[in-house]
Amino acid sequence: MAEPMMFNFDGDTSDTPERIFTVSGFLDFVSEMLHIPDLYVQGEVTGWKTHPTGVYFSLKDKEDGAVLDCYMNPYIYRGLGMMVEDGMEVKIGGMPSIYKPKGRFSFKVENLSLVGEGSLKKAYELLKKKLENEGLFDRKREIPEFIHTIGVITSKTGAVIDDFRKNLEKRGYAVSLRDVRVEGARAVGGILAAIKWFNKHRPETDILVIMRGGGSLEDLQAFNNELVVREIFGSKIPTICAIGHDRDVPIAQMVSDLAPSTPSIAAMEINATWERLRNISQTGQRLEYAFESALASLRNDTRHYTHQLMAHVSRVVGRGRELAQGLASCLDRVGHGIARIKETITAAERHLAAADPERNLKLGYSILSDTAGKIIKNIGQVNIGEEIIAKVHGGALSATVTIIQKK
Amino acid sequence: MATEKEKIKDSLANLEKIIEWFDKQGEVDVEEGLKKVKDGAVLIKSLKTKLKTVENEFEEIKKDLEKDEE
Repeated sequence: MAEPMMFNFDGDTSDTPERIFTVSGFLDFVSEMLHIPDLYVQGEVTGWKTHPTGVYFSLKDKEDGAVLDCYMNPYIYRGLGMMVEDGMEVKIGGMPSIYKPKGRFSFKVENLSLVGEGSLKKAYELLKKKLENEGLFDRKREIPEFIHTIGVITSKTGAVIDDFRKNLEKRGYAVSLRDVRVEGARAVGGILAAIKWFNKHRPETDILVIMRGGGSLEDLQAFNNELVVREIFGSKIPTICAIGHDRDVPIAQMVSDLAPSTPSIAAMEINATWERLRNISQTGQRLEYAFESALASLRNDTRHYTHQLMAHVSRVVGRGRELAQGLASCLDRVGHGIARIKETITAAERHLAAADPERNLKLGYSILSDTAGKIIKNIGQVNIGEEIIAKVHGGALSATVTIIQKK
Repeated sequence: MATEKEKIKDSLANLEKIIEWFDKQGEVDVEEGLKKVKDGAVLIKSLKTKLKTVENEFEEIKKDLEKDEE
């Protein structure tokens, strides 16, 4: 900063030296004097021009048409994430300055926000059209099945997170919350940082859920902010954006992969990713019933066949008994046969014993025969003086008949 | 067993023939009679042995069957 050569604020030139500035020094001095913190100016944008060196525009006072030239660094403009055009009511923050090459007074804009529904609506429509032309609303990724890890970006103090949690089924979800402000334009930074954080530090997160309750366009500025919208679109983690709204669907929802109307429905959508498992479970139950039914049928068949088999066995056993009885009967017959044979043998023995000539001779009997060998069986066969042969035990003898006595 | 039975049967038939021979004899041929008696005695002895074997087997079978029935 250029030092003034002399000071004379009260017009008294007698004791104090004149203050003579160089042009540049004076402009620097004035600029320094104008450096007042927390200055905000509100007015209507006119002459909006974007240029590689910056954005040039004027703010016009609606009351008397007073005009304030403004300059905004291109970096700051890019960081705003909103589209501005003539006619919009805006509030700018920054500091007055003097553009030295031209000696022109202007306002150096450090932040800019839209004021009023009309401006917000215009900005909304502009951004919507732009992104639509880029095709950002066309891409919708599949929400993964069986979601387990959930990254939530919202305010921890709102009812939203409670509604969301209440509607999540008890499936052991791992919910990680990044507490951010969600109200107004100042929410942009926090939301951007949270989306980046999840993608960088928790890339394994199954789904990113960005939520807030209902509100006006002004309340929902962050969700119609180009930076936020592009960050959501660029998220590698699939996104669900549940923002309550009155009329205009927040652009953040248009680029998200799924856009339920409320946080409760977002939770239900996540629950629904397990639907197939429920079907699997039902299939399992059907399978179980089918199995039980088949088992019952098998049991009946087994019982039936067992009965049949038992009947066969009984018949076989019965037949076996019959056969055994038959065999026993045969055996009896064999026994009788043996007994009969025994009797036959005994009888034959007796018969032979009786017929055995030797036995009779031993008993003292003798067999008489004539000399020709004819057996003498009758007394009439012999005559006195006839020679006869008598067989006795141990041999034979010859004798002559001397006496005949007839009975 | 069947063979054994047949043999017994044959022996019995032979014994029967001897008995018949004696029954038919009008006059006793002592020598032939003695021979027949001796043959008969041999047959009877053989029959008794065979019959004893058969009888033993019969008793064993009978016992087995009685055991099974128990």
